[in-house]
Amino acid sequence: MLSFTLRRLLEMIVTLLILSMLVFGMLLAAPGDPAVALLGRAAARPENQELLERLRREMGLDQPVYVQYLRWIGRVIQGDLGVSNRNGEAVITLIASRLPATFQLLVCSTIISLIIAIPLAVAAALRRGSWLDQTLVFLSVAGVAIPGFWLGLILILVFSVYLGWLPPSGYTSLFEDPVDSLRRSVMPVITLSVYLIAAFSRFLRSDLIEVLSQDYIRTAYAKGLSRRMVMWRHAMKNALPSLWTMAGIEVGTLLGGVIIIEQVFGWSGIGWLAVQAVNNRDYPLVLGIVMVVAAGFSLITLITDLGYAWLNPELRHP
Amino acid sequence: MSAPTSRTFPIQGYWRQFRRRVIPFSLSTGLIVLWAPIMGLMVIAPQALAPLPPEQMSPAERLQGPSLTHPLGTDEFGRSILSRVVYGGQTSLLIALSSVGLAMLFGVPLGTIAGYCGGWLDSLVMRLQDVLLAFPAILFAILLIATFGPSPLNLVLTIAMVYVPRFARLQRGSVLMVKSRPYVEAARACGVPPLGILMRTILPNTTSPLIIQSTLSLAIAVLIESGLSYMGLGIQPPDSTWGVMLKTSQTYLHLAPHYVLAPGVFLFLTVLSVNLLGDWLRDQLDPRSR
Repeated sequence: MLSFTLRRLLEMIVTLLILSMLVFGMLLAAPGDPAVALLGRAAARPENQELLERLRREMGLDQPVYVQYLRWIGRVIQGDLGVSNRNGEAVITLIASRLPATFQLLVCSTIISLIIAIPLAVAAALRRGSWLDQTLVFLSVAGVAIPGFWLGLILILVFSVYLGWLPPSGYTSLFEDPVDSLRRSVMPVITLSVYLIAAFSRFLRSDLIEVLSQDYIRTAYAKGLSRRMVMWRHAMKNALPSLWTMAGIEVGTLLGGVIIIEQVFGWSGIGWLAVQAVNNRDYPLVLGIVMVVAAGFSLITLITDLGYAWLNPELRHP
Repeated sequence: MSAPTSRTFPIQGYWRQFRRRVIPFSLSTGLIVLWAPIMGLMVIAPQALAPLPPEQMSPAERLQGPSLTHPLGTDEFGRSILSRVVYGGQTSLLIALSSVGLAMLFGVPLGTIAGYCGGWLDSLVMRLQDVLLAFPAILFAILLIATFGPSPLNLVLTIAMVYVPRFARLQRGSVLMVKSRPYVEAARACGVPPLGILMRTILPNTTSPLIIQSTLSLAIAVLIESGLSYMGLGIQPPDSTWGVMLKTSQTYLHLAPHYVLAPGVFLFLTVLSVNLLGDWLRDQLDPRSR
């Protein structure tokens, strides 16, 4: 287990390093000179040429590419992702200030979807072919295909425009005004959960159906256990590792989905920041966000793999 | 479980069969049969579905509900929403088709070489794929658009880049699987040269997963395109796609609630029917699920 953990950790670091090279390459490929961008309009004046040269030297732009990369990665490892070329704030502070908003959506929708999807999948798997099962299969196919941002717009139309129950957009911090914050997160969380519930229940249903056809389930029934006992003690226990992996993958997917959903609801999280950064041509900020989200994504994958190994006895005792 | 019990009357058995097999089958088939020609028309002959040109403005008829001349109403410049949706669909579908095509063009040879040759080449290709798969597709798209700017061509290249690793990985897996089959060994024993084995024995046997994957990718490509366009990072306003229209319609949710429906329904039905088509193809082509 320890060597497995170390190997996976090493793999993650290598992946992130290669990714950082890719991102740095993008930074070089991006049109425009960072020194010019920093000086703004003043850079065009001929008397500022000397200043521009000095700035380039200070920023290390006159160094070979690999030296520039090594300096950059050295700073990244220390948590310095540079400064936004929009307002000169540190990129890492900007990102950190938006993370709680995105976390709130991710955590709420994952928990709510699991709470709803597990009983649905269990009921469907136990009564395979029933109307409940068929409705669920149909709904999960539709739920995966429905575009999240459109669903969000429809929710705004119904709950804000027609019924006037919920505010159409905006974010309040959970620590400043918990009630308002939760009220505002209802629609984004529903939007994200519809996809997740569909994906989870579809997966768990087919997994449970396979588990239920195993010999040990028949044995469990034969020794007189109730259906509930068989389901929760034997079937769920064996479906859990793959559900865990599935949840890890889907939370990763959610990280992409939340970027769009934040635009729909004016939810000022990390995705909102990313799109603003792109529109402002704020490359340091865009690259910083990409590195942070990629690191988060890799971390989720790592936790998923380690959790799977821990849940699966075959891997725990090799 | 599936054997009918002796107590049920035959008619009940038929009803159950009907309910279990025919209804779900006909729901999805019905949707595919209904929507596939519409998608085809949107790509080949959009004027057949929407006679009015999508740029034609009539300021007097701004943001109106459905009428005979404008079956789905009009937008903020008095343009017919039906025309905008249909021509926007043409753009969306063409972008999705070309990006998935481009991704196959690069991904399939990469995967084939990696799977067939093995060794360091295989490790190199697969390590690069791992990196590209290590973060959300939409974020990768945002990174590329931020660097190279939003344009239809960049959109195609971006979505293609997202899919190259996925196709390469799939193809590598199939090639590895087929390579160890007895009939490949037989061909080798008969003295067929390596390239001949690859082209005539291995590749024809890897097409089914590719067909399924490309169909399912098409649906996600449409979703990525409309998502990026919705965020203002894809197709830019005078041109229309479903994402652009949804973005604009959000501004007019109070004044013209019908505006948000048409692009969304078209997008949803397209993604749903392409997904169902992919599932159907999987059932037909994958011998395990038969």
